Amino acid sequence: MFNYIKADLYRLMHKKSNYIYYGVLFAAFVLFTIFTMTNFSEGSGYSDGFLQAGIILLSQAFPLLFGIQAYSVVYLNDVSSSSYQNIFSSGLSKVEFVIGKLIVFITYMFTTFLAGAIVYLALYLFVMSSENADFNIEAFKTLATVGGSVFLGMIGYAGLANLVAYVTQNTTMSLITFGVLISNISLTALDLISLVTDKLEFLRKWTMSYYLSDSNNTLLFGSVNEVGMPFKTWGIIGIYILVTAIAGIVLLRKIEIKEGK
Amino acid sequence: MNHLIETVGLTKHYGKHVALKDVSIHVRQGEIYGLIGKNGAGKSTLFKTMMGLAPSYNGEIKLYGKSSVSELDDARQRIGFMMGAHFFPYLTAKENLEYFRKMKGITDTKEVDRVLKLVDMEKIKKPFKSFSMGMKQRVSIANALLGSPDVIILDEPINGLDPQGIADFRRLVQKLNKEQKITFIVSSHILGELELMATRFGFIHDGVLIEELDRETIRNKTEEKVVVKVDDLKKAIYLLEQAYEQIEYTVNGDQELVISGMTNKVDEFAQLFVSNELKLFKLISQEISIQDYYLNLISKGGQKNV
Repeated sequence: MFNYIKADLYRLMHKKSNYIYYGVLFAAFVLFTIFTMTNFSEGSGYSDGFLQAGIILLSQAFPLLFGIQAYSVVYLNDVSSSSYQNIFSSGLSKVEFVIGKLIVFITYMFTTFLAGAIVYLALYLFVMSSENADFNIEAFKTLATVGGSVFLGMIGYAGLANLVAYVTQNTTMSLITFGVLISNISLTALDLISLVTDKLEFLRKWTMSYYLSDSNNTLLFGSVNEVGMPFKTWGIIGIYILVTAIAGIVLLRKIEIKEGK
Repeated sequence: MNHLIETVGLTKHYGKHVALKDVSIHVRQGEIYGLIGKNGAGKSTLFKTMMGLAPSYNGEIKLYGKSSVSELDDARQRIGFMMGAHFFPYLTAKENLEYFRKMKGITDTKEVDRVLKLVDMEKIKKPFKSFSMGMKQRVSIANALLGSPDVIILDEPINGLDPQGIADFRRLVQKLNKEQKITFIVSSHILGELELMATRFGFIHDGVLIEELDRETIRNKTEEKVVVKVDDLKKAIYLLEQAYEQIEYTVNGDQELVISGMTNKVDEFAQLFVSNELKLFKLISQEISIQDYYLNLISKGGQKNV
């Protein structure tokens, strides 16, 4: 399994478009920050707004911009390149594959989170020093907590989308599933249905999005010190990760690996 | 352990369609086993099932004499496998093979260069997506050679290769088989190429393994034939039937008379036709090829010959 993890990390490190993607994204964020800061005309409150915007970006935009890319390169590149047949015919067991891939995804996500955090922190320090503002440790705690939830949520959503990937071995289907899950479309759909009937109300509490949205929204308008850490949400995501990993192993043992075209 | 790879009564269904029916294949150490069958005969399904890519089958798979799930996974690490040419498009040939070298736990860092050199791809630095079909096939063959496995299974390896590439590939397989004692299982529908390469043959048709034979056994079993072309085919047949009671013949698409065996009677045939004023355009004796043998085998009804 460790050989597989090493190999997959080697692959990700040699995918040049990863560097271009994150380079463009971070550069755009830096330019956006500088542009909005220089045009900010309401006194010295930009640094506070920067932190507030950070929490919103982290919970709303980060999963779409980073999550979909991460899921695509870590999981779906295997499907799109029809590499499953080479991977599984080499004697790698399905258990090793699922756990190994999970570790690779966590490592990749952690690296992108860390890179994002460094860029964000550097920009914050720049904004803070230009305003002579105090370091807002409270807001950073909230940011880190939301970050933790988003991080775990993406792993959980990836686990669910993978079940589709394993069964269909179709990149588009899996990516759409991941996109639908991560953009809370499923929860929004249930919200809309609840306007007509309450018969599906129970389903809302089965979705990861329900807990994730709830805890992030609470933190967005409060702080960690006021509302506490979202352990319940993290626990539920943990259960999702565990269950989808086991289901993934069972599915992979049953399905036939399609021949590439 | 008599056989490195063996299946016992392997049967696989896709819904109502039977892809493999009671297939018992036996691959011995050191041989080049040619699996012969037309498209859709079950060659790829057999390989996929053996290599753990197609679960849900009946029967037994034995690799190195082992048959439990975990033992099979371990055994597969000692088998090189090629089916199509599917790699990460954004990586170069070397990077793709480095990926599989690391995954297979091969510690020799020069191994990728070694196998790329064997398939004449060591100088190519472009990403895989820009490769021609032949280049992709070469990378796939190189991947199967990684780590010098005991057994290498190649599914249609010469598809997309140019004539020079095919000849190089044949020499490579024969060299590795002879020098490194690597056992090969090669499938192809280009029978002429398998005929030049394989030391043993398995004939598969409609999911049924009809026959497994050594090259020498085939040579002994295959009859030679005499091909005759004359100006009056009906008269020639009449003369032959009158002269030889046990004669067996067919007429091919070129309106030639193909007589089974009797290659020692060529002179007599010539005399018979000429003395009866037939114009003789062609009279040759031929050895039956593997292709003829295979076609003859499946035309006789496949399973009946098991």
